[in-house]
Amino acid sequence: MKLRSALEELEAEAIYVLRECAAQFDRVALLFSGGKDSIVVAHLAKLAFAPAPPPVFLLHIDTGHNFEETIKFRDRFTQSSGFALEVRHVQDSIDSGKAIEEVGSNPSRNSLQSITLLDAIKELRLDAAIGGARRDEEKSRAKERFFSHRNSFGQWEPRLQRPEVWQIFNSFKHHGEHFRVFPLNNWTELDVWEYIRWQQIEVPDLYFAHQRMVVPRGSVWLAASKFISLVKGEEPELKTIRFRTVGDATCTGAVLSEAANVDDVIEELKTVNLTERSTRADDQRSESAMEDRKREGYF
Amino acid sequence: MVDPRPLVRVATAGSVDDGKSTFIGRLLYDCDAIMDDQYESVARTSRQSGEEGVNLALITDGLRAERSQKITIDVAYRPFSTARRRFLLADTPGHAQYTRNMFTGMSTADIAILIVDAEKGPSAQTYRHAFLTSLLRVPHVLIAINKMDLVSYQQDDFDALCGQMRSALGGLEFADLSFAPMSALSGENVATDSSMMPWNRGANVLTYLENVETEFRQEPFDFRFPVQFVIRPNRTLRGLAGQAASGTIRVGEEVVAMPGNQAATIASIRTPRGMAKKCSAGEAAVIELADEIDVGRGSLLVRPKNRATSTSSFEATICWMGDNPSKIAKKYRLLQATGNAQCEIAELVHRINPETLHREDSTSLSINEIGKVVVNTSVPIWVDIFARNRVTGSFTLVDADTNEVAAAGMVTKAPATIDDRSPKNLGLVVWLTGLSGSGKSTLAELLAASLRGQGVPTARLDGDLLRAGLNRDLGFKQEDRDENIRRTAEIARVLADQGQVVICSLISPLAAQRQMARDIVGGAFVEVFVSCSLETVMERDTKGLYAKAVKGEILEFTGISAPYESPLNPDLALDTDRLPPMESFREILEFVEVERQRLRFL
Repeated sequence: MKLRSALEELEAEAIYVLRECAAQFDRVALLFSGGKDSIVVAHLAKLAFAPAPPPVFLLHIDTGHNFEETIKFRDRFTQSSGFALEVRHVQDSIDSGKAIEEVGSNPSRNSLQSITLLDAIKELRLDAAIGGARRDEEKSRAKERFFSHRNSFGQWEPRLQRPEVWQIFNSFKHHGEHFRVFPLNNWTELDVWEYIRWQQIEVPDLYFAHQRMVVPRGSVWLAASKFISLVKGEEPELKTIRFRTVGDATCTGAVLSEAANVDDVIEELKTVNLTERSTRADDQRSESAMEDRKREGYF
Repeated sequence: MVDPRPLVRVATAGSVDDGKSTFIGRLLYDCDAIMDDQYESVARTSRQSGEEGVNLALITDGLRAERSQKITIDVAYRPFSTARRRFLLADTPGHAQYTRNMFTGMSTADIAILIVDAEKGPSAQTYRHAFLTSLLRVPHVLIAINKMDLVSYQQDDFDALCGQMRSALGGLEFADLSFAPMSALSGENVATDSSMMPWNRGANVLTYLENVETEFRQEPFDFRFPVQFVIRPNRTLRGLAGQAASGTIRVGEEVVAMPGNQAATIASIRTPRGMAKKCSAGEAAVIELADEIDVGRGSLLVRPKNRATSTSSFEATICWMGDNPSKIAKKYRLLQATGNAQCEIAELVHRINPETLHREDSTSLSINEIGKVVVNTSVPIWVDIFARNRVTGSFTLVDADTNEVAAAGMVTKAPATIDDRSPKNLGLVVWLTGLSGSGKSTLAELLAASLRGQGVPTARLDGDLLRAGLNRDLGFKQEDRDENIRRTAEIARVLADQGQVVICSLISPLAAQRQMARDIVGGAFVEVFVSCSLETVMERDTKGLYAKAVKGEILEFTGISAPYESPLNPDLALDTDRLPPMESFREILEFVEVERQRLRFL
């Protein structure tokens, strides 16, 4: 059993989890952001159920602040992969008064996504939502189960997580509750990239070095887009950058990089000494930023 | 192209203040698994809480409550790697009240590291951790004696602690138990050999992790494939998706879908890499069968001659995890690898005190308690003994009222019921009779090797060998010859009763002797006449005995100077004059299979 490489073992593990998910739940969506992790999960879902189509559809929670490239990629991916796609808009939650736009410096719609997501889960009567989150990303995610229970308020209760012994997954739940399922739990950022190289999976160009107008914010570079308002004295500069994560443009920071293709990215990651989430302004707000958002129903 | 390093799963546990988090922080730090921003964040938190230096322990405690209480509540997973291996570290809580979280982290581990304080010695909790890792059969256990700096790195202290613990743990089963001295605080013997402890004969902890033999971890060869999901893209394909828990199967082989009894041939195997000839443990696969049989999620594919046990009652050790205590006769949902059935706890045999290992009487198990129980299921399910197979021998119980996991269990005993008896446990005595040199021993040897190859427990009793030992007090008088047969038959019976196929090869020339053996053994006795003409055996005369007998150097030699009464109605007769040895072997193998199937209905 141990004669295989870590990546092959992680692939088999993810496929096992995806199949358990399909077998144990009735209505399952794959949370798709157009980022590399959800692209890899979609690829694994195709492998898990081949030659049949995967019994899941894609769900994108659109903050309205996405990079244009992400949306284009999403639509192209849906076309070529054959997945059905549902999109729900944070703007709709704001318009209906359920979500209130942040004010102050660096306002972001990132945490508002949770409201739209939970509404979508209710509306689509989902009993499970598959995510591409990984344990290596962040210290509260390091605590995640594969089948992660959410109460009827959509909340995560980190101190009361269900035991998950061996590979036996318990999907029993009360009405109104749901599960988040994380097939990539044990993968690292480098695993994801090595898998992308191995399986020749296409990802958005945002991940590779390109020239872009950016402004420095804290320790990261933010793209100068219509979604962020410049403060006095800020002057966008043209830099060669790439994104390590692809999310809401207001909080997804770029890094200065010359890595122009998958091989370069892998080489860069082998020497990098900052975590992937260090480029996310949403995680830099406090020590428990992620735990707090996860409790509220975040991805 | 793909990074060839394997993934090794390590779980740690310790008691309060024995430095487990410091150890993990040190290990991760020395393996460059802590990024600058993580280090900065920990340094900031250390400063804020007024600690001296950077508290590496803060790396692992990811929840707000954990950081404020400085304890581990739930298991956290951290990747790190060296040039040789990738590791996934499950940092598990040590407190009794979080035992269920420890179980979660330990259940999939290849290696468990238990931390002990060198100055304080093992605590009651240490023994509980050791008991749990032994219960879960973690393949390798390392007891890391930490804080060696507090005992001035003295070898005597280390040796005394190891001795004390070895004897205290004597009652537990470990496949592989090791000890290592270290100081997590100063990094001595964690990732590099210690200059403070030149006396240490063992490896440092990281070297141990890199070298422990997990590649060829003891893997049962029994093929076990729990079906997860049925894939039906069209009317013609019915693909059984799953992951083999153990063993290997090839296209063209026959399998049975348990808990039923229907057999089918493997038509095709699909893996993520495309169509394949075989499927091995751990691989994701989709199996297509050539025959239409009743199989779906929860079925277990096995080889017909190597089945799991199909039963609706078994004995198990369970760890209680539910907030509500266990109740006799309450209905629980039993979850296996992929199967699922209603069940009840029919009996609580005893509770086990995890610190003293004493058995205690009790009427129920409360959260984090461990006990031995009898579980009855509403329908027959398949099980293996946990000691034999971690996947097919494990289960959880779900409380239907709360939907929470109420217990995790390990099957310890599964009584074979009459019509579901696993054929591999059917004892049979195969009695080979015939002239010296007729080919009995050769046949016995081939048959035994073949049966053992299929996992059938098999024993050989050879007349010549028994005479060299057990029966060396016996001569060749008639009563001694009878006694020789009687003893052999008695041993054969005892072994057959315990599920062995016993192959006896003795000349046993007289019909009365063979009848005596049949009477002793009973219904599980078959007589095989290995016939060969006297001319042929005299010509073969491999041992030169016939020549001596003819010259009169051996008296009363069967066939020459003593009679051989050919069986009139043997269960099987093999004419080795006519049949080449491989043909005789095939005939007897088939005969034995048929006989063992017959026994199932006795």
